Amino acid sequence: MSHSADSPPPSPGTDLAVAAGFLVFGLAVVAASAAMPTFTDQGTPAYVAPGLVPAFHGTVIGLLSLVLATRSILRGAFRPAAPAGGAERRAILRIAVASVLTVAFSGFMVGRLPFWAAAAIFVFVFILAFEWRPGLAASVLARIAGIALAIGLVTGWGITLLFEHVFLIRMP
Amino acid sequence: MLQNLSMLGGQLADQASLMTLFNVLWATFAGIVVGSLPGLTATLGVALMTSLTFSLAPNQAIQVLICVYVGAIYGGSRSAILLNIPGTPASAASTLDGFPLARQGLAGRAMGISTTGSWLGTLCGTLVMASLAPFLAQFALSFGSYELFWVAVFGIVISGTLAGGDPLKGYMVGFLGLFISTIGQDAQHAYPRFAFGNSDLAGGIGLLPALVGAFGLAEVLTAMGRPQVKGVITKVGSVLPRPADVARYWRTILRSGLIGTFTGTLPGLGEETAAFAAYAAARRGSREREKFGNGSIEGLIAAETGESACVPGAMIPVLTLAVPGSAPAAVLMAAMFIHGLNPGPMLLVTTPEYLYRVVAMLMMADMAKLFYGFFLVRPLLLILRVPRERLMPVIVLLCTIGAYATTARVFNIWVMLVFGLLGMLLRRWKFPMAPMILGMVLGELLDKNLLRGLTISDGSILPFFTRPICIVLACLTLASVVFSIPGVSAWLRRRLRPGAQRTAIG
Repeated sequence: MSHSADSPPPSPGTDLAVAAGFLVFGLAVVAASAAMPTFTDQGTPAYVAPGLVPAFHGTVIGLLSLVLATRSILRGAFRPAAPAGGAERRAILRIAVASVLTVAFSGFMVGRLPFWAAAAIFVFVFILAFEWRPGLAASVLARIAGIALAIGLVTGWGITLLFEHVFLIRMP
Repeated sequence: MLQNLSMLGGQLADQASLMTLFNVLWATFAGIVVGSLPGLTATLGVALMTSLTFSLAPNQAIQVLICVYVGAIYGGSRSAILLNIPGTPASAASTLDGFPLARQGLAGRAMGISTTGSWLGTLCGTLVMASLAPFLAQFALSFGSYELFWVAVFGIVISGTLAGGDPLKGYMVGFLGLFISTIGQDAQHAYPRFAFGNSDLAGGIGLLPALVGAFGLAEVLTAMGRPQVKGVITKVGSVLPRPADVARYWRTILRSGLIGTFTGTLPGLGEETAAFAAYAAARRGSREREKFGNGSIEGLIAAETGESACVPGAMIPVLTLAVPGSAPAAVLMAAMFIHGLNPGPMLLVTTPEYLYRVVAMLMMADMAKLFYGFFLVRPLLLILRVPRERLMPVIVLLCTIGAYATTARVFNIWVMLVFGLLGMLLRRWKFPMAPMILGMVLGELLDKNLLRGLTISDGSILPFFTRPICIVLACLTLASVVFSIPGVSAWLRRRLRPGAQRTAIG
């Protein structure tokens, strides 16, 4: 249940930025909780107010992020960090491409196109984007595109049929 | 005792149908495949399968999920041995000796040993569960709101401390999970918290789409950042275990089984910690310490037994306290709620036979795992060769439809996306995910019991600190936080070392 150990540990500067994000988030939670009604005017005690528990969580998140910020400053957050290596940059690029394709499919294509078509397009583009290399021969590219199209159509139709006819779910 | 055995027999007889056998076989197979593919974990498998089995009868659905869980934890060792990449984090300890054995041309022997260790581990954990859970459930009945509040807090803290990585970050995401569980209408006034006028948000964040995102999509995105996997070992040989190996290391098997089961009972630790704890204990007690890390049969059997014993171990707190022992167990618990079963102290009072039903399910999954372990080696080699680039988009499709399927709401697809992206970022920043999931699962328990306790005591917080079980849980929580501070733990080690030396000299 631990986190992935294959990416490099974040630099103190990254930890500081993350801590700042968490601090802002914690403060926002406390502010939103404080703005909630307490219902004491209806005779209920203040300790069952809807904002009490989330305000406590927001406070703890804020305090812990202050500890993380202090620790990252002590570890040299303001010292210039070494630039990311080539392998790390490639990893970030691959994750970014996968994220953009996934958000485009799940967030914008599903519900607007028939599910099988959206799925087939997504699988086709995903495979092509990750198997394409600069300088690939046209015949190899055509073969990859053929495989990607076949996988896309088979999975798109297969999943739609399985969910609609076996699990009786109306597809989005 | 006889009554318990008769209940177990009754449940095994109840489960003996062709449909159950069919479900056990396909679900265990699916679990092994999910577990063996690097990047796909047991949590993802159980979360996806929860949405796929939504329309099944509750018992059949839970049987399928248990089989996927048992199969996936075991399946991780296939790629650990053949690729030197753990299929699931739980199998990380198996790479230490499994892959060196495979490189020595002993891949078949390593897989046979891992199958035997895994089978015995689940069996050991299941037997401990069957004998221990009724007593724990009886004890848990004495828990009131004050104690249950501390159980939730202790669960988050111990998970943050021990789940791996940085305890500070573990606590942060643990409280983030607790916060997420407060989104939507509160139990007391039905006031929509953090909904901002959105009716979907007022209904709360569904646990299942959030889990599919945090463990499914986030794992796919993280896996896409890794370099391509190459070099599957294809020469396997006989996978049948040698009885001499099992007989020789029976002490290691028993010890690892007990360590794995105990680790499983602690909230949020899970199979990875269990495997490493069992491996470390085996190394300390071994006469062949130098072989560990270079292809030790004893090391591999310890890791496999430990991780597989953790599965039934993680089910013990689910059934007795409604507190999951691992991330897949958290999803399984959510599935139990979805299917109308209410895990927790009252489950074993209202339906005492349910424990033995789960025991029977675990035993059937364990037998299916043994069958596949000896007869499913070649097809798995083919599956391991499927390029990640062609597999992952299909998993994204299943995550999307899995998030949508249970309630047929497009909003849940957005929940899955947000948690997927958040989970991927948190993983890259080295935040452990287990405490966040535990926070989301335990948030309602904490919120409800805090308010109920305050109402009973008329607003006084004293009972939270004066009742005997509360004092123990509060002290354990505090000690867990204090000892996770690097300065304190270093000071404690310095204080203990001279004392230990003096004792040795004396």
